[in-house]
Formats: sequence, structure tokens, C-alpha cells
Amino acid sequence: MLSIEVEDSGRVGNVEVVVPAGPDFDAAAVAAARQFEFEPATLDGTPVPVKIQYAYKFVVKEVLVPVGPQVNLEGVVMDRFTKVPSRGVKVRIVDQGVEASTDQDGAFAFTDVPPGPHVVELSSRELVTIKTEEVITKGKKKSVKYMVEAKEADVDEEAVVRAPRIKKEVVETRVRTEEAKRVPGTQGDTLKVVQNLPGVGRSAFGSGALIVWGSAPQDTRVNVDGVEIPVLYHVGGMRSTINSDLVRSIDLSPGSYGADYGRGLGGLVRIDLQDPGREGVHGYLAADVMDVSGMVRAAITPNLRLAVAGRQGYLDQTLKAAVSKDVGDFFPIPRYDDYQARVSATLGKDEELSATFLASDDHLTRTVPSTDPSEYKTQDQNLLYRRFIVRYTRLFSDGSSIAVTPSLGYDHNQQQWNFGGTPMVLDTITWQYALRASYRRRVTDKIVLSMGLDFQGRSSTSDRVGSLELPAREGDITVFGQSPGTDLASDRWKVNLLSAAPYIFAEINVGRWTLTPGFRLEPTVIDGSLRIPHTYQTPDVGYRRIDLPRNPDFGPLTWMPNPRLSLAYRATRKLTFTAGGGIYGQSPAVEDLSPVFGNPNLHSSSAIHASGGASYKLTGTMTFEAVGFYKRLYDLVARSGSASPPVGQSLGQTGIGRSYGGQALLRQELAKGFFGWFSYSLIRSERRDRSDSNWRLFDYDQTHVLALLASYEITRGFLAGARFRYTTGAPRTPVVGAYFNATAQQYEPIFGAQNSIRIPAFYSLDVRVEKALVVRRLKFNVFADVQNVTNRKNPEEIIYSANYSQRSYITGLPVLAVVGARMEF
Amino acid sequence: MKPANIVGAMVLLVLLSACKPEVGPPISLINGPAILAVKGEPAEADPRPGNANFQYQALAVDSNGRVPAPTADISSPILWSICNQPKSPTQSNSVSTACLDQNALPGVAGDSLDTYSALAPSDSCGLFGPLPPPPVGDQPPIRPRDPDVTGGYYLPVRLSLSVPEGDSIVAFQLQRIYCGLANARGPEVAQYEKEYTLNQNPVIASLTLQQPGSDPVEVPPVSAGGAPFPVLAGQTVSLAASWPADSVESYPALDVLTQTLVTHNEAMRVSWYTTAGTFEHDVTGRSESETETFADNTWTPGAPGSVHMWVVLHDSRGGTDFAGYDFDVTH
Repeated sequence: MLSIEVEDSGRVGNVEVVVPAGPDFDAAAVAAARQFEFEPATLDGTPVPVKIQYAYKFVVKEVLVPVGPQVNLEGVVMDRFTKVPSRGVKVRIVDQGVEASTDQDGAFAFTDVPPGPHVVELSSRELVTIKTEEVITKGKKKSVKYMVEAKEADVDEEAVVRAPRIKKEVVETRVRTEEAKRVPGTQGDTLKVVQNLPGVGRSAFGSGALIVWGSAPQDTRVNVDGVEIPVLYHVGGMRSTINSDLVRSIDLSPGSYGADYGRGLGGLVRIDLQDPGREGVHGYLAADVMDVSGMVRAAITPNLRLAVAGRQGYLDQTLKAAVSKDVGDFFPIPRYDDYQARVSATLGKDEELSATFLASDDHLTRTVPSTDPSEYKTQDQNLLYRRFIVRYTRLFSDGSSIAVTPSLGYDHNQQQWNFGGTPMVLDTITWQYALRASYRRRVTDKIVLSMGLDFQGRSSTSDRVGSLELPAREGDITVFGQSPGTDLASDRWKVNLLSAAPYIFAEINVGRWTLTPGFRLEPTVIDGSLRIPHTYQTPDVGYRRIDLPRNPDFGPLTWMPNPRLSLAYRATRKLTFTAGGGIYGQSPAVEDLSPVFGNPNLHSSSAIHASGGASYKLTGTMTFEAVGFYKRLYDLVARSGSASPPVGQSLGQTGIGRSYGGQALLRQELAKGFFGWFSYSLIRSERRDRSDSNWRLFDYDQTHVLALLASYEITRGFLAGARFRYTTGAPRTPVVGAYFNATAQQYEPIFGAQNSIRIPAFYSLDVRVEKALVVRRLKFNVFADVQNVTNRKNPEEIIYSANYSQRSYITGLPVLAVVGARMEF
Repeated sequence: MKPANIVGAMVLLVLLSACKPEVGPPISLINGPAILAVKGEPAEADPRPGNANFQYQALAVDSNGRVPAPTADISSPILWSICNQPKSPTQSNSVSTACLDQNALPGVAGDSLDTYSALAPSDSCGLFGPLPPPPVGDQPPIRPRDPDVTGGYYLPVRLSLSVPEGDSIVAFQLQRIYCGLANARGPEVAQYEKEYTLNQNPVIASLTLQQPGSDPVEVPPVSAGGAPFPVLAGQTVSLAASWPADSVESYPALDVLTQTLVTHNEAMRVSWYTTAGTFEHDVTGRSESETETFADNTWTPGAPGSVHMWVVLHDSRGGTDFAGYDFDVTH
């Protein structure tokens, strides 16, 4: 209500609010009233000023007016596991052809997105590309939060629907560092978690071998950022050779993997190293009963990051002080160390360059004294590797990407034994030079094409002295502790293996189907120094040939590139069926190409993998997977069955193999402080060494492999977890009798059917508790990792009495508590 | 960046002892029929001329002592055979499994229960040595056999001792044969042929026993026909088996690492066997770098009674000697 003074001219004078209706309304009413013009009031015909009461009524009237661009789709992109905002992620509305990038808070926004459904794609050089659908409602703004995950090396993009990406490998288990560090029994070693994944057999204590889907340990390849390393674990398997804090993720494909990898008949372990970090200086120092380790990572500038890490083991000394000497005789633990350095540089938008140096050493020197000169033993073992890896990646504006990874490596495997005066030497030095280059491009909306070259050269020099029986091969019939042969041969040979493997594969998305066909051609030049054993009568003759992994039983297609194929069918948003397979090749081992100890005419072995299964997402973070598989192996290297083999044919390529079975995994990913999984594998693996021999169990065959583990953050900073493992014992050949070697003064066994008995089953319960404290900017972790809390005496090997009339078992380590501390800054 | 201070605690909370299991009785305890040693004479010969005749003598025993004739435990004499089947590289044992086939290789009785003489096959160096037969037609040549670290090659001689119940007791003597030096440079071959002397069996000179607080006393061997040597039950005594210095022979052998000839001394091993009581070690000896001419041990006799003991002496080139001793264990 206004009080308006109307002058005698009719114009409005002073205006006052009598009954307010709110400041804005009052001001608007006063302003409007000042614009009024009145017919002057009169008194006796003469205009006079007056004051009137005026009720100004506001009528709300909906009027559409152009107000400029409006944000109607906004959101935040965060790392799925670390919850850190992801900067620089391209968010693209595919059907509109518009895109935005996330800022340092991971935020993005779109304006005036038309109402209706839209396909939104998120991509960056570091993250798995995901696509999702968003529905925009007219006149409403939609806010979203995307949880994304980093992608592994050399896999630039993959088709993904929301969080659970469609895995390119049909069978693949990925474990994030955040989970892996908490697995009981691994002492915080991320890479040791592989031993608990489905499809992986338990390695005997002290071996650290990776037994995947019934394959020999040496048939499984381990790649770090796409570069092959010789071993994942230090000798003894107590520690991995790469610092866990440098690892972003570890993926295990027990078989049926894609065309971008090869040179192995078994599984594939891919380790993806992480960027040192873009902010500040961070690191850790840690120590436990096994080793001391540390790491420092620093962002020298936002575009230049550095990380260095190192570890020194002393478990050999710890055990020496804590257990009886006999344990050391059976399970010698080497002294190990490893160190790494990594530099990452951002060269430009979506352009990165990194250089990584990896080093690992194992040293073991021991003497087993005896009053019997023939039983006096010495051992000197050195195993080391070095890798220098440069990696260049670039994501182009059209969405295509390249990755180029040259590398240089050096391996030295030296074993020197002396058994009562009889030496055994195996000394191999290898230089490895490799180049992996890949290019990836979206050809159409439904097809992404990847191609690349995987080149690897290995130049080796080997020295070997000793019996043909040493070192023992898979399939050798022997018993633990049996004296090695006394025959003595020697050889020194050189082998160059040059393998250039072009590959190509396409990811085709058609509706609910994802089809990934691929081919890999893996020709290898084998260049050796000795075709026949060295003699003093004739000059040495070398050889050079091109070797190609064949496609067994493929008739005229035998020599075509090895095919790979995977299929995924998303039946529902929760249920996905997968199938896949391929043909894989593996060049002969350098150690087998000796004309004295092996056969320089060996060629590649081949394998056919086939697998199929399904995964069902029970909840947002819980998944059940089941997979069945079959592997067929061809041209396996086996010892000659002849009592008098020809020169240069101590080994032959007469072996074949098969392994088949299934695995199941029920997995709860880290959520609300809890994670865990139950995995079970049922596997049978067999070999036939020669056409005239029978099928036998593979030396590493384990029928049942079960792992159940869980970890929970009970209160803030206090974690507790447990792991239970059960595995069938490895096969062994029974001793059915013995005879006396009067010259050696010892009994020698008479064997029964090969691998027809087993070591008793292994089971163990491990517990881990961990407490984290934060003091200012320092985070302290104290943990106790107790293995075999029930103190079960797990048989690890069969041992016999001197005359082989009685047998017993060597048992593994009893209850063992590893306590350590870690400080992060 | 904050300065870092490591806080580490290294505690091994509980680590129970894990030990090497002791399985069964020691090899030195004789509680039934057994063949403990075979002595070939000569200890080494060249079979290529075709006249290498070896005389073998076995040490066959049971819990009652050396077996002079078939007893209640032993139903027939030892059957002897020379096995001409080399083992394949797939076999980890010293002899081929074909040599265990009693049907294919039944064996023959020797000159007596424990002696046998036979010619070594003239192709022994082809079957078991570095001189395989030349290839036939377009067949590839056969891989030569590898010598042991002393440069020796060995011919397997099988002994089979039948017992009334159970399987036969089988033993092998690996008879050293001389096949020369293969795949070496000419000068080394010439030097080898010049310097190498065929192995000879070592000799057990004596066995001495020393009781606590007493001087060592020589124990007479059974072959000397003396009375059993008295010892106290449960009292640990020291034993020393000795050999003359010339039993330790020198010989050249090719060092496969340097491809040069190196002169070695024989290492000596003494295997100890008894029908009662326990030895500290089953085998003692001297490495090639040790110059002592004895190997010692301790023995703790068990319950009172008659006890038999055998000592087997081996040199590292396969030479053998053995001797038996009887003891009277009293309170």
C-alpha cells in the first residue's frame, strides 16, 4: 500500500510505502508509482494537490524471455578407488558432438543440452574410456558424479558401461593396489596377491613359481608397462621384485588373452606402474623381519615428476637366527634387493613421456658341510635383472592414441653348485632390447582398431657344466634329495632370438555384443653359435633360421598369423557372458639350445587356449565370475627317450600337453572398509612326453585350489583380515623298491608309475592386523602378519629313508609372525 | 616435505622349530641280508683289447655276520650279470631300468657265493664311454657318454641275492673302465695318455678303537681270525680307519671349465656298518685336499652281545677295499 502525493499538475510527488510487501516489491511499486500521471484533483474547479492511498497489485505472469545459455548438465569425475578428482578428462556428449574437460576439481558442465537421452563418453589418456547414458529433462539441471578407473598400460581405450568395464581379456582378474596391500599373508606386497587369484596354483615353499592354469612357471610371462621381466618374485617367493608403491594395478590373464601379447604358452601378468604424483613430495619408509624398504616421489614441477624406491632384504639372516639350520638346508633363502626409479614428464596436452629403471638382485651362498666328501655341497647363486624403459604416449584430438615403449634389459642367471667335488654351473647372460609400439583409433562408432609391433631381441651367452640331469626338468622322475648324476659335460654357446611381432585387433560393439578378433604374427630369427658340440677336430658351425609359431591342426592355415578372439555378451546390466581363445607360441629357451645338453634344432612350441564363462554383478561392488577353460599344448620340449640319443638331440620336441578345468570367483571390491574374495579352481593338467609314452600328471598339477580372504576396517585406522588357503598336493612318483649302488655306497630308488601319488594337501590360515595413525602429516602403519596361525605342519616334500623302505614328509614353516612398521609422508 | 624418521619394529613372534625328519634306521645299521660292497680287481682296465678280465668279490652280510654260504636268510648264491644297457638321459639313477629286469638279465652264479670273474665287453667304451660306434648309413652319430669328474666311465655289474621271503636284494658295482680322454686338444690328450695310471684298489691298513681315557688299540679284522674285541655296552668309543699313503693316488683329469689337465689326489670315503649300536656318521672320509690317511668316527654299542662291524673304503675313482670286525659287547 502506497501513499502518493499528486501535485496540482497531476504529476506524482512524494511516494511512501504505507504497508510494505517486501523490499523488492516496495521499490518496484514506488518506482512504478513515480511514473503515474493523474488527472489533477479540483476543489471548486481549481486544481489542488492531494495525497492518496494506492494499493499496487503485482500480478505474477509467466512470460518466456530469452535469458542466455543455461547449465543443465554438470558433474564431477573422480577416481573410483582413491576418490581423487580427475583433472583433464574429456567429457563428450556423443550425439551432440560437444565436449568439455574437467577442471582441477574434476568438475565439468554443459549448457543447453536438449532434453532427452544422450550418450556421454569420458576419456583421457590415463583413464579407461567409459560411455553412459544421461536423460535431460526440459527445464531441469542434472548433476552427476562419475567414478572412473585408471587404465592399464598399452590398453588405451576399452568399451565400458559404467563402472564395470567390459574386459578385453575373456578371463582376467585385476587387483588394485589399495586392496592388494591389505591381503593377509602377503606382508603388504601388492604383487604377492597374484598367488591368491583364481587359476593360480600354490607354489611350493621356497620356489615362488607362478603356476597358472596348469602351465609350467616358465611359460607365464610377466610384463611391466609392456616390457617383459624374467621374474615376478625374488628367489624363494617371499617378496616381489618391484616396489608395491610404484604399482598402480596388476592384472592376471591365465589364458585366452589378446593379440597384443604373446611369446608364452601360459598366462600373462601385466603390471601397470603409476605416475609418481603431481603434487608435493611424498614417500614412505618401512621395515619388517624380511626387509627394509623406502620410496620418495616428488613433483619437481607440475610437469616433471620423479620417484625412487629401494629395498634390502635380510630374511636369510633373520631365519638363520630363528630356525634350526636344517631348515636353511632345505629352503635356502637368498639375500635380495631391488631398486627402481621413474621419471614422468608431461610434454604437452595429452602427451606424456616416462623413463623407468628397474633392478633386482638375488644372492645366495651357502655350504652344506659333511663328513662324507661326496656329500659336501656348496652353492653360489646370483640372479639379477635390469630394465630401462622409456614410454611415450599421446592422445590425439580425434581420439586416436599411440604408445611407444623402447626398452633395454640385462639378465644374469648364475648358478654354481659343487656336489662332493662334481661341479654344476649354469651361467646365462642375456641382453634384451625391445620396442613396443601401438596405435589405436576409433574407425566408426562401433569399431575401434588397434595395431602395433611388439619387437623383442634377446642376445644370450650361456655356460653350462655338469650332468645332463641338472637342473631337473619337468617330467624328470626323481625324489627329493636324490644325489645328482656324476656325469660331467660342458658347453658354451650363444643364441640370438629376434622376434618382431606385428599384431592387430578390433573391438567391435554391436548392441549387447562386444567382439574382439585379432591376429598376431610372431616370426623369430634364431641365430646360434653351435649346431653340433664343439670339438677340437672341426671348426664350430653355427646356424640361423626363421621360426614361426604354428597353428596346430589348422591344415593349410598352419603358418598363418596366430588368431585370437574374444566375445562378450551383456545379457543384462548385471550379467555378462564371455568366451575367447587363441593360439599362442613360445620360442625355445636358450638353455635348451645347447648342442651338448639340449638340441639346437628346437623350434617354437604352440598352445591353443579356449575359455568361456559368465560374470554376474550381485551389487555395485560384488561380482561373481565363473570360467571354464581348455588348453592344448604342442611341440613341448622333453628329454630324449632314447638310451643313446644322437648328437645334439638330448632334448626333443615330442611332448604334448593338456590342461582343463574351471574357476569361480566371488569378489567384494573395497567398499565401506571391506573387501574380500572366495576363489576356487578345479584344474587337471597332463603331459605326454613322447608318442610311445602314456599321459601323466603334470609335475605342478593341483586339482583343487581354494582361497578365501577378507579384510575389514573395524574402526578408523584399524584393519583386520584373514586368509585361508587349501590346495591339493603336487604329484610325485612313488618309490616301490631300491637297489644298492655299491660304488657310491648308497641306495637308489626304483620308481612306480610316474606322478601316481601326491604330497598331502596344504592348508593354512593367515591373519593380518594393521593399525594406522596420523600424526600431523605423517601416517604410521604398524602391522602383524601371522602365517599359519594353526601351526599346521604342511607337507612340502616327500623324503625317504636311506634304503627307501620308509617315507616321511618335510614340512613347511610353522606359525610365523611378521611384524613391521611403515611411515608415510 | 617433512623430515622422515623410520619407525620399524622387527619381531619374530613365534617361530617353532622345523627340522629335517629322521626317516627309518640309518644306512649303517645292518638288520638283514645286504650287499655292502663289491671289489673289482683290477680296479680299472681298458676293455677295448677284449681281454679286460675282472675278478669281483662281494661283501654280502646279514645280521649274523658275513655270509659265507646260503643261510636261512639267503636261499641261493649271488647271481651276477654285466648289464650292457646304458641309461637314458631321462633316468636319474646310475643304471638303466633295463638292468633291473631279472627276466631279461637273470644272471649267473659266480665262482663261489661271493666271487665272480668276467670279461668286460670290448665295446664297453662305446656303450658307456666316449667312443660310440660310427653312424650307420644316414643315421646321425650317437652322443658320446660323459665321464665323471675324475674322467672315469663305468660298466654296471649287477648282483642279485635271493632271500626266502620278499624281493631279491639287488646291488650294482660300477666297474671303472679306461677309455682315454675324449674331446680334448691334442697336447692334453698326449699328456693324459702319458701321465694317467690305471686306478688301483685302496687298502685298509687298520681299524683302531679308543675307549675314553685309554690309548687307541688296533682291532683285529675277522680275516685275521682273532677273538671278538671287547667293548662296553653304551660306552661311546672312537674309531679310526686308516690306509697307507700310497692308497691315495694322483691322476690327471680334464678341467671342463678351463679345458686343461689338472692333477688330482683321490678323495677317500669310509662307510661304516654294524649290526648293533649307532655311529655318529654313516660315512666319513677325506677330501682330495686333505692329507690325513685316516677317517674317524664314534660308535656307541648297544645291548651286550656279539656285534659285527664292516668298514668299506672307497677312493674317488671307484677303487674299493673292505674288512670285517667282530666285537663282544659286555656290561
